[in-house]
Order: sequence, then structure tokens, then C-alpha cells
Amino acid sequence: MARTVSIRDLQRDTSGVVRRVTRTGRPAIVTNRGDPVVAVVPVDPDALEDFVLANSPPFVRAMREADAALEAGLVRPASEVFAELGQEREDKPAATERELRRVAALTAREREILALLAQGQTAQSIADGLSISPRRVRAHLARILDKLDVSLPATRSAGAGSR
Amino acid sequence: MCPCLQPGPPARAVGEGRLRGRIPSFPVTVALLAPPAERDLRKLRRLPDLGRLRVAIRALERGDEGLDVAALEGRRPWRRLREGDWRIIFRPLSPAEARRLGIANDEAILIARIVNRRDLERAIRTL
Repeated sequence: MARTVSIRDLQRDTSGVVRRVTRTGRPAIVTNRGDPVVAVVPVDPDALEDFVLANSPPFVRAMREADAALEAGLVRPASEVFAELGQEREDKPAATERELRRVAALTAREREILALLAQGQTAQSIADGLSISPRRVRAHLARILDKLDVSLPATRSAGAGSR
Repeated sequence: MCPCLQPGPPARAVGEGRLRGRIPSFPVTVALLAPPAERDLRKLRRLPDLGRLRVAIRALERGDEGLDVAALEGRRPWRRLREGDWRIIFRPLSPAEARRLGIANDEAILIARIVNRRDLERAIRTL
């Protein structure tokens, strides 16, 4: 299992400590007595991960909290929570009223282009399919994005698709 | 023959092939979520993550063989289940605890947290 090495040991003989730690085949967490971790020598990442799960204050606190919740009868069957979460997702409307209004503002041509874009087509292939120029497709696209108030990352991906 | 046409390995159950042999699987019937674990689930944004965790917790409930379960050193009886990027911190309930909760065959597990690997990296700073 992982062990903790004081920063003082490390300062005294850095390479020696690291060598000793490495030879043990265990991960070492180098700390300065309560200060943030200074260095980690991960020999076995799995063991290090388990060490963090077992010793990190948030997780230790969670274990205590879970025990207390069990005592107080505040625990719930996982199946019940999963069923609830599934139901919540089903109840959530696919689009809000505002989003529907935005889509309604699109012209027939813009909707046609949007549907083709959603299929993953590029500006060039849409232009070929509709017998218009790619420049015209990009102009439509700019108007669509404007009407839908779509954020920049989506614009970037659409731009990438138009190349 | 193109390697991509070669038949692949048979489909594996959750965690199959990753058993470390450290802890034998045990049959349980009910997985109980403590409030922090329920909060972890409710925070999930991606549906595939929720599905994956649901399958993993069901496998725990059934006591499937081959799950990547290990004891948390120094925190017995707490254990962790590793499923992809997710770590589930849990412990089996004692028969007395299960009986007190009215669980039929006295077998259940308590889940304290459902943690992503990224959070572990963050948690290392709290040590």
C-alpha cells in the first residue's frame, strides 16, 4: 500500500528517498505535514488510487456520513433512485417553448439546410444537392445560427464542416 | 484476411477479466445509496454514465463474479468497485443493520460515494 514520506526526508536525501520508495514497489506520497502534497512517486497507480479513496478527507467524510445516514434511516435503494432519474429524463421536454419559437422563425429553405447539416453533410455537399453555391449555403447557415442564437463552438464545428 | 474481419473476443460482463482475486464476490440483494452517493448520481450529465453505473450497481447487487472490487486499506469494511472511469465506494451491511432496515435476507450494501477518476486527481491535493 502507499506510504507517506515527509518532505524533510526528501530534502535531506532526495534521490535516496525516491530510490528507497521505488524499491519497495509501493507508491509514495510526499507531504509537508498537512501542507498540500508536494510530490508523488506513483509506482502502482491502482494502489495510489485506492490510497486516495481510503485516506482523502472528502471520501473519509463521505464514509462517515453514509454510516450516519444509515443510522438515521436516510438511505434509499439504488433502484428507486435510478428509476426516478430515468423518469425525470423522460418528463423533461425535448425543447423549451423559446427553442421551439426560434425554430419556427426559420424559413423552409433554412430548415432544409439545417436538416442536411444535422445529417453531417458539408456546405459543399449541401450546395451540390440543392443546386446552389456553397457561398449561398454559408449565408443561409449564418442566418440559421443567428436565428437560433447558437453559441460559438457550434459555429466552429459548422464552419469546419463547410470546408 | 483483414484483421478487422477477424472475429473479436466474446462479449464480457461488467468487470469480467479484471478480477484481482483480492476479494471474492458476495451475493447481495439491495444496494442502498447514502445521500452523498445520490447527489453524485444526480450530478451526472451524461446518460451513458448513468446507464453504466446502473449496470455496475446491479452487478454488485447480484454478486456477479469478476467485478474489480478491492478493500480500502485501513478503512475496512469499506471497499471500492472500479468500473471504467468510475469508482464506487461501498461496504456490505452487517446482518444486524440489514435486519434493522427490514431487508429480507439480511444482505445489502451501502454506497457512500460514486467518484470519477478526475475527482481522485483533485482529491490528492487534500491529503
